Amino acid sequence: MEVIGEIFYYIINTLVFTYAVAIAVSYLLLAFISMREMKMYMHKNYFIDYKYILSSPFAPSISLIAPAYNEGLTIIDNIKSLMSIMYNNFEVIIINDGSKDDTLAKMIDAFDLVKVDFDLQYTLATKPVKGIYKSRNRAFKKLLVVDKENGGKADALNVGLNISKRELVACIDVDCIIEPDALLKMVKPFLEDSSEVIASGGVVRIANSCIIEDGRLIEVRLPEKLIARIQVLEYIRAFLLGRMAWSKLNGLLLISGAFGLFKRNIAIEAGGYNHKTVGEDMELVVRMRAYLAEQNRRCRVVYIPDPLCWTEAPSNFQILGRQRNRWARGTFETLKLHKRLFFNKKYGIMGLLSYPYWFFFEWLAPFVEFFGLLFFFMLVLMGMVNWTFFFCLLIVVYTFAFFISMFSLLSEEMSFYKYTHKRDIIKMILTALVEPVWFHPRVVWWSLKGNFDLIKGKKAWGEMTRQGFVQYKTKKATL
Amino acid sequence: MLWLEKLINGEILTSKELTIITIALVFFSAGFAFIVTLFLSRIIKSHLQGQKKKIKSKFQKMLNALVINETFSTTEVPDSAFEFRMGEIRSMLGSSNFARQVLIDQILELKKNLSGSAVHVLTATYFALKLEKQSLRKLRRPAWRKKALGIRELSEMNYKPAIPAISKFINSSNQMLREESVMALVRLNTEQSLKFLDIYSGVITPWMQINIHHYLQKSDLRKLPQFSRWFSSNNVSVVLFSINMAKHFRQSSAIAPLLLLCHHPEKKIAEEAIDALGELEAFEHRENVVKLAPKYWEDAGISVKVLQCLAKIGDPYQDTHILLEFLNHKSYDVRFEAVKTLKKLGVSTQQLSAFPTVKGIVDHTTEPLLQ
Repeated sequence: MEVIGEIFYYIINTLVFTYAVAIAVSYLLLAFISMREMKMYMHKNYFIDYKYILSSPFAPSISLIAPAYNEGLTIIDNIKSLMSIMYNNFEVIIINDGSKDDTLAKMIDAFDLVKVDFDLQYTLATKPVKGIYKSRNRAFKKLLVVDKENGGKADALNVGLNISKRELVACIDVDCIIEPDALLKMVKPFLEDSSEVIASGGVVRIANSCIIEDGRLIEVRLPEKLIARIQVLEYIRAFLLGRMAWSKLNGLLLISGAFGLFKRNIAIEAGGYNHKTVGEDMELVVRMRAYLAEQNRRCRVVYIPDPLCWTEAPSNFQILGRQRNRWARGTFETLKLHKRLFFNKKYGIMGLLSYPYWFFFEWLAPFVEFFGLLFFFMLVLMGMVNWTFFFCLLIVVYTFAFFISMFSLLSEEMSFYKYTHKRDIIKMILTALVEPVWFHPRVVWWSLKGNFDLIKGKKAWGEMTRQGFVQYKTKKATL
Repeated sequence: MLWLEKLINGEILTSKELTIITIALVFFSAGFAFIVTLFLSRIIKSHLQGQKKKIKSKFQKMLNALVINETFSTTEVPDSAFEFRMGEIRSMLGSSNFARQVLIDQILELKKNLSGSAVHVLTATYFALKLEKQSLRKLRRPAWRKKALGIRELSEMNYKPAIPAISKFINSSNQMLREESVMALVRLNTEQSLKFLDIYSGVITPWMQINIHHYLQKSDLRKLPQFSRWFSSNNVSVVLFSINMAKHFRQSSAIAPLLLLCHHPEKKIAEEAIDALGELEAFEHRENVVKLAPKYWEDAGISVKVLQCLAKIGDPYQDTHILLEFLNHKSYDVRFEAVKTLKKLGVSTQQLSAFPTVKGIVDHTTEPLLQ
């Protein structure tokens, strides 16, 4: 019995150790590739004058699709902000996804909307559309509002795909702050490689504590609350160190649902957004790529490191927990739906590298951490812990987390340099020191809970109450 | 303290533990080094910015004086006055490459926002200070971005003697360098701005098309070449680019060769050629376009282009019958375009409403707010 115990102990130890080394090496490799790619991007960017796109008759046409659900408080400001984006050939399609508040009434009133005879084709199956509205005011001729039965974000986006007749569609969250030149930058990869690029995505940044006026970002500030500040660090790490490298490797599986640009025909051919998953953004990218790979067509999903989209991050643990729970469920649903990709060379880098990475290091990681911890407690009870060795390992894990966070901060500093105050950097360093012990265990727990909720059949998004950006405007006015 | 002494002497830790601690120390030191680099980078950045600002303000005064003197002077500015200013700038530049680069950047920036005689003064300043030598030196640097920067500066300053040196990069493996050289040649080689198309083996991306078009629009349109000369190129992207330019600059001489391209095996070329015929209002070749309709019936993309073309050049009396056939096409997009074309050719809404397959489309196209 003792021998079996020893063997078990040895196997678990070796597996966990190998896993930890593999994850650390992959992070280091991704960080290295990202840094190189970022440097290249910055150099390339120096020579690009995006204004040429603005005035060119050859710029592709774009539909901005923004689903809205109970956004009555901010919808008018948000639409005005979208309408003032710097691009020539675009339209804004707002999908009112069966809001229970006065979202539609406010839009009708503010933009002088009337119902029109739009011949809508349900190319992608969606919930019924109740009406399509256009403005009588020529100033808002680019705006089209759709009123439909509630069906969720994916369903609303599919209605937008059905309505749009344009080459590219930008799917965005209506409450996000989009930088004025965001479309110019997002469309550039499609112009550089018109045949292969099927989607592009930009960096999403945290706007908590930033100064926002009339839907425009006036001043970037580091969030005052620690919970939001940690998310800033997380986002910088994920976007600047993760996605940049995956984009270079042509293995990017996720374009944030907050802001992504897609080739409309490919998105429709692939079947549009899947409304049966809460991770519809990742699922669409994976499906589009898989669809093209199955037809032996080459494709690329490109990532733009410029901060193009600003969003409000959850500022309390309850809402953040719901968000992470949903992310965990979305990840698992997507991986499960596309399990045929797993180490399948037919799908190239996506099958051989990206999918296994997501499976082992994104989905499985919380389980390894949690059960590793349980195993550790078991060893403690059995008095089998070599405490010196344990503390040595703990220190190396902690310093590694610190190292990666500092690397991402340096990467941000060398590229976009958004947090200009010296005290911001000091705050971020302190945040990086606190994060592994104060924040990370909760993320692990929420991910586990998300997976268990999925097993229990939970499908809901979970309410995401936002404080809204309006408060900053008010706050500024009162100063 | 005894514990610490033992720890330092390696009496507490095993070799494995020592290795792990060493790794931890490496990570910590690297993390700490990043912090130091981060702060150092801030200090260096702000120092360089300060220095640049200082130099820039000095140059700005000089350049302002030069430009204002030239622009507002009622009499011709004597060469000696110009030379005097140049002497001043030269003494400020000294042997500093940094100052030279700041001045080049400043001249390029000012040039973008000015026109007329002011631009001539800036260009004269650039050449009088022999700054083109600094730009030319960049072409010999190993880094692609330095080369590209040199090319950009020389083309902005319209330095034609650099054409042979820039031409060498036309088929470079580096995309940015290739694009920069193409753009530069379009700007510099005014007599034969698109000659590079004869030898260009890369892909003319939509981005390059946008840039080239931008420069061509600014050039003397009478000197533009006949784009049809590249319709027979083996490079598909060159053919597509030429069709687009012929269409945009309304070169009616391209109509006859475009008719041949309508039968090109490359679908995209056929599509663009048909579209161009419509844009160029090739009324006399309407029948040829009509004949394409049955040929491309199965291809929805080309059928849409045929319909769009006929909307511009079609005959309301002779073409209606064939267009009506499209109302039963399997593709919704084709039916939609057919309705639009028929309406444009004068077919009444009532007549069209008789076709059940397009009832919704007719309502849609009749809605004024959706036009």
